[in-house]
Amino acid sequence: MTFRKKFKIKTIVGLFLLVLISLTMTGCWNRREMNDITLSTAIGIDRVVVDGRPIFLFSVLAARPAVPSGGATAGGGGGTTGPRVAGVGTVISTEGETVYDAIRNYSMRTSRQLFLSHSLVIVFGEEMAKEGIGEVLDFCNRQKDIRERTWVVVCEGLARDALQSQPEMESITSVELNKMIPLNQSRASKVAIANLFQVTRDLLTPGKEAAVSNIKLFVPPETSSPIRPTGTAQTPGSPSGKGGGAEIQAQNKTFALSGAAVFRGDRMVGRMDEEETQGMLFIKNQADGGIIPIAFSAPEKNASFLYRDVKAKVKPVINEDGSIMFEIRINGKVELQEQKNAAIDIAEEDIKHAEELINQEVERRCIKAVARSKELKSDVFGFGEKIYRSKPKAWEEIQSQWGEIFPIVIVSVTADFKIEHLGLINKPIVIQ
Amino acid sequence: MLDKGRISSVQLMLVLFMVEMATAFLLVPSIVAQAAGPDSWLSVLGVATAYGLAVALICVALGKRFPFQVFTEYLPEVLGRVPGKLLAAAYTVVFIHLTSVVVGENSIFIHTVFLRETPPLIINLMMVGAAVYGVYLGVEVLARANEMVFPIFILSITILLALVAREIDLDHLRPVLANGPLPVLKGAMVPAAWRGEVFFLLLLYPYLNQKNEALKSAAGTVLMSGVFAATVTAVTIGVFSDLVASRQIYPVLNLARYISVAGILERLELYLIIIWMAGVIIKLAVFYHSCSVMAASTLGLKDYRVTVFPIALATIVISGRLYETDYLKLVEFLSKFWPFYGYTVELLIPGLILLVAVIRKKGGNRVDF
Repeated sequence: MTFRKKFKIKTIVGLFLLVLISLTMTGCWNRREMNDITLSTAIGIDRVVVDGRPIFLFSVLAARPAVPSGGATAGGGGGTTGPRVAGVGTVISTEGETVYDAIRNYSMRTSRQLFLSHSLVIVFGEEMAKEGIGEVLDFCNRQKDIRERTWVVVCEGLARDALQSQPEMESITSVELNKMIPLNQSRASKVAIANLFQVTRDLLTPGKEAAVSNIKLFVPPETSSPIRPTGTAQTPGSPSGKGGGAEIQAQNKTFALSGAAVFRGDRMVGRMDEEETQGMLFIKNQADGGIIPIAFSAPEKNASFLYRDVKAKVKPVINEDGSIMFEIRINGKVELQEQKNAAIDIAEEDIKHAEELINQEVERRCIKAVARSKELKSDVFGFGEKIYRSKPKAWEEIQSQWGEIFPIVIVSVTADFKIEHLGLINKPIVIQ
Repeated sequence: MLDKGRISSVQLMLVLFMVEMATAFLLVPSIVAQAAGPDSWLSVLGVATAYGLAVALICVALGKRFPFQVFTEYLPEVLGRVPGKLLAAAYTVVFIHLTSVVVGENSIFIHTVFLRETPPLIINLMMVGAAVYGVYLGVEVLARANEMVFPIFILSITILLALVAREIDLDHLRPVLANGPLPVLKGAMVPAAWRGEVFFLLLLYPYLNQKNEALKSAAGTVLMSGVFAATVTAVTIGVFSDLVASRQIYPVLNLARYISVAGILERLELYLIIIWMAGVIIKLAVFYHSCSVMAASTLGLKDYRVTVFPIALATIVISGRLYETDYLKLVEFLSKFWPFYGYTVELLIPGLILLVAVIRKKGGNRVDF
């Protein structure tokens, strides 16, 4: 009896589960096939005025679907990978009253659902950045597709134009940017670097402001460049392109990273040039490698050193009279990379002197960065946060006035770089 | 005793760990960070664990007095027939509600971050179906199934944390105790309620085969989950800082998304969803098992399996009406009501019952630890 009962229950449950599983295994409920979606690789957000009304202009650099082989395409490569022609991306921009409104308006322009999960870069247009990116950041963090590691950059001019600019090495602008930003940090350290999470944190943290990469567009000066308007391989100007006529269109430009865009709150207040940005990266512990040129007993720069293993320590000191001081110590190693006419002998005092010059140069760059950020009244180094983390009581008192205090804090920078390596030749090449 | 199963003390420890951690690891960090800021890990590690130990002590003491009965079976004995049965019925209802909260937690998580267009009902049916099947098989099978899930759960989360560990900025964990101990205590309220889920011991004690090791398992589970939860919280805050983490609903999910090793190991959040589902199925199964045993013993039924199906349906309906599509309600419950609700159900009432049992000299053994 009990056996039969048990058996019955087991059978019923088993059959029920079997039906349930077979029903749910048939496929995804909300499947999105590859040929139904647009893979966004970069998004650009602008604030523009249309009919006297400010609106959001949302641009997507979408990976253009590969044309099946046999089509009359320029590359004609075909196969599964599709033809590889310069720029496989398409920029499509839509307008809306809010960001998400603009995103959903995408469906009025194209036949495919927008898929943001593969976005590598968020580009803010200059006007957008100046007006405040808070709303956009809220949106990006709120919705689940855009990832925390997406780079945030600010461009000069319209973000739409930046997305339309041509890559010079990779097949698509967003991939090129995505590789360039971290590469720069280890090769030159002259561009601010921040992803979506870092920008969000910097904006949320009291006593810290955001600084993000800045990009600029230009016509490549090299005459052989296929991007130049005088070149042969031309992409026809899209109807949505800016201006037109005699003006050089965005498609004929390429882009380069350039310094940092500095924010106060969620508004961009200015830019830093490369030297200032490098100084900032030194203080923020983000300078992983780069070159310091020095002038060794000569009027112009005649030797360059590669730095690495840079560590910066920022120590806030609050004096009895209430003045605030930051002692910054930067340690690192440098390698001699080049020098002119054996300016530096390998003798000990020359090495010492060279180290001194390097230290001076690093200190100069850091001080320049501090001066610039004081001028912009934007604490990009997170000095205020340093006080909060180490002296929370003191911070509570000054937090509300930090904006006014920051420009008058005293910052002392002490660099201590050691020459550890001279390259593959140990005696200088003396020209006879 | 309605279930004839037997579980070992280690199995008990792992089951109790899973009952708490399956949902706590994902939901707690954000709620703690809102109150305790950079000190969140202290709340989770210290205060919540102390509370959990108190609950464990009371539950073991009660268990020792009535070693072969579950909580609802000896309530009439301790309090008298009518009040005892009433309280037992109330506890059954409370458990059904708690189970529907777990069902709601699950479907909201899957619904908001993963399957946007799948109706939550389908997600619920699948999860509840799996859990109910486990309940039909009995507590012994649940414990064994958990022995398989537990290492996967622990290892996967540890690996996820290790992969994101290089993003930790120790500055985010400072200053320690900047505003004194009050925020730490405040922050501990919600995780303490979770840690108190060790009170499932009241319903699992009879199945334990070595009764003298009950306290060891219960305390072990509390300490283990304390360390584990504190690690998860500390890594979350270390990477995201309390300001960002407290604004995210599921910071651990964002943590998994933030992993990037050599540009290859990325987008690991799906693993987190697998871990979550495995854990929640175990948790739900234990909840359903306890619910149905309570209901059956309150009603005086011979077989607890009869009550599983109605209870499962009830929880799906309740969670559908209360929480399924309303995240705000769930958060309101978890962060405002759940602590007090939890303290009452986990500590206060069992404590009072123990007191009454001691005064009225009910139950077998003395309280000795």
